[in-house]
Amino acid sequence: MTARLTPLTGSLLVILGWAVVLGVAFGRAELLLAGLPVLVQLAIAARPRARPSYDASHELSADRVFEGDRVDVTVTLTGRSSPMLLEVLQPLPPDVEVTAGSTRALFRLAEQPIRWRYELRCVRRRRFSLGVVHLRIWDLSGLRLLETRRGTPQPVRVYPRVTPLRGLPIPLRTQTHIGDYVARSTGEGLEPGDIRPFMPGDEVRHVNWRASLRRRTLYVTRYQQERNADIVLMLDTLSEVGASPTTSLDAGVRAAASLASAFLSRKDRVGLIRYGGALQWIKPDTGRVQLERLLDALLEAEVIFTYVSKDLTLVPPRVLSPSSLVIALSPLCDERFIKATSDLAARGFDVIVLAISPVGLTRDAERRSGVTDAACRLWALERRIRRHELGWHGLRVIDWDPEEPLELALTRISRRRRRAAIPA
Amino acid sequence: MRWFAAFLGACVVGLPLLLTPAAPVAVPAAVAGALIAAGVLTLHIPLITAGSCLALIEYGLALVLARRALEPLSAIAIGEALLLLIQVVQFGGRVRGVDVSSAVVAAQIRYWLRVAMVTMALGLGVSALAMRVVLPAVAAPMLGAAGAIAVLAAAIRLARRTSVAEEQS
Repeated sequence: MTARLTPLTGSLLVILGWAVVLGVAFGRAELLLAGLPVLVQLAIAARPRARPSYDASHELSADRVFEGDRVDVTVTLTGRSSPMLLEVLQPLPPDVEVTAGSTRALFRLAEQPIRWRYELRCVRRRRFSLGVVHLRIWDLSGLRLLETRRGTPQPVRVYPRVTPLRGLPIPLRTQTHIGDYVARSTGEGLEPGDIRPFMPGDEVRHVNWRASLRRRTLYVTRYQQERNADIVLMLDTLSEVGASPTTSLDAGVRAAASLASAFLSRKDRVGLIRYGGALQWIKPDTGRVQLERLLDALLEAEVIFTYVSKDLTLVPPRVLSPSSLVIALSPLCDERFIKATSDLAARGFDVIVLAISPVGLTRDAERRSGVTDAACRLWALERRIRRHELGWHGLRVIDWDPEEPLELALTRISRRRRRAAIPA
Repeated sequence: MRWFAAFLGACVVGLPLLLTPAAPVAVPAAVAGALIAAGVLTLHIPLITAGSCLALIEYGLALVLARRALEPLSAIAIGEALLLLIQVVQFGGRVRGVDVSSAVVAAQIRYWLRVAMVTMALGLGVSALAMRVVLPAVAAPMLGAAGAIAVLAAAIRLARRTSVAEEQS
């Protein structure tokens, strides 16, 4: 706890001293009398006071929210002391807005606990702490104050916004685990595949009675297997364009979160590679725990500047298996990322590049002018040519403007790919 | 809050002008008024302090030019107004952009009223005493020096108390 005098004390002392000096200089006692109230105030403030006792506790309506969600914060202040004013301040991180109430308040300490409420809106993914409030206990004279901090830090995680997706790209290769994709190979499943003559070992329940009666010999129905796939989301954290909270990286993180959620709900195994200054990965897996793991990794995604280009051969095969579908999310502004994805395609990986268009984001961040518009149009043309070049190298590039729904961009994947039969 | 502070500022600057409406008093009054007005608008304490010091010069000039006997009432009124003005401006600055409950404002107003009553009673008592006791002219600087020493002692005591409280915490 820090106790200190406020600047008001200095001001009062200056006025008092000046009154005394003028009183002597002019030889008028009235000036000394004019300084008397100030002197009395200083004397009252100099009286010893009992130390105030108080406490602050925080309650949050949720400690894990998605971007755009609101959090209700209730602070309970309890204290018993001589009449003093309690100023409370809750510092907030950037990208967290106050939608109701205020994070700064002034109360009078009383016997009854004071409940102070405010509402926050979390604009952008981040991890931050609430709960430690800065307290200032003011003397009613305004001449002295005590400063301290109270409370226990309570972590709040703001996850990237997840948009429900229906039309997802279909992987060309599947895994051996049960999933939602109808595979070409036959075996256990629900979708009927073909019919063949009965062989010893076939189960009776698989006998196709209609075909058997027509052909006068036993036939069995074979079913197509239902498999899942490995999806690896590769997020470009080498470059970022635009202004927070709508940068290309933010858009990429939101897209990755939406894709991860949609693929996991299809029983696929989803992994993540953050390709940037620090190469980090999460092994593909299924389930809600994996979604939480991915969202945790995504909320920490940020650009770490480096000149070093990372080699994807560092990523172990259990994370980046050759049969997985790699969805690369990038604004395609850094050649190192383009080279990495081109290498993957050349090595036979099934790669889709979701090119997050930085043109619109830059136009929004810059001041509107003819030069900006012309530069953005030229940039868009250059990017179109670059996409075609990448297409010749075997990369499937889908352009996505973050202002349009992701679902719309995903529908641009060719029908041929979506209707392709999946080899086992 | 600003309206009340402006009223107090007008009292501080206007009272000496009412005592002696003369050009030598009006000039510092105009400057003091401008400084206090700027301080009230921006809720800036140093501006109010500077304006108050000029208002005291203005008051001194008014007293010298008027050549009247001791006028304790105007002195106490100006002193009260000065103190309240600076405290109101500081409170206004503290509560700007802050959620303030009505209990806080009520407690603050009660405190100001209490201090005003105490200082007024004390001022009247002291002035009554001063009117009865006639001190020789030589005693004036000594009284001034004693006042200055008392102010210094109060300031040292206040600072020491604050540093002791900090050490204890």
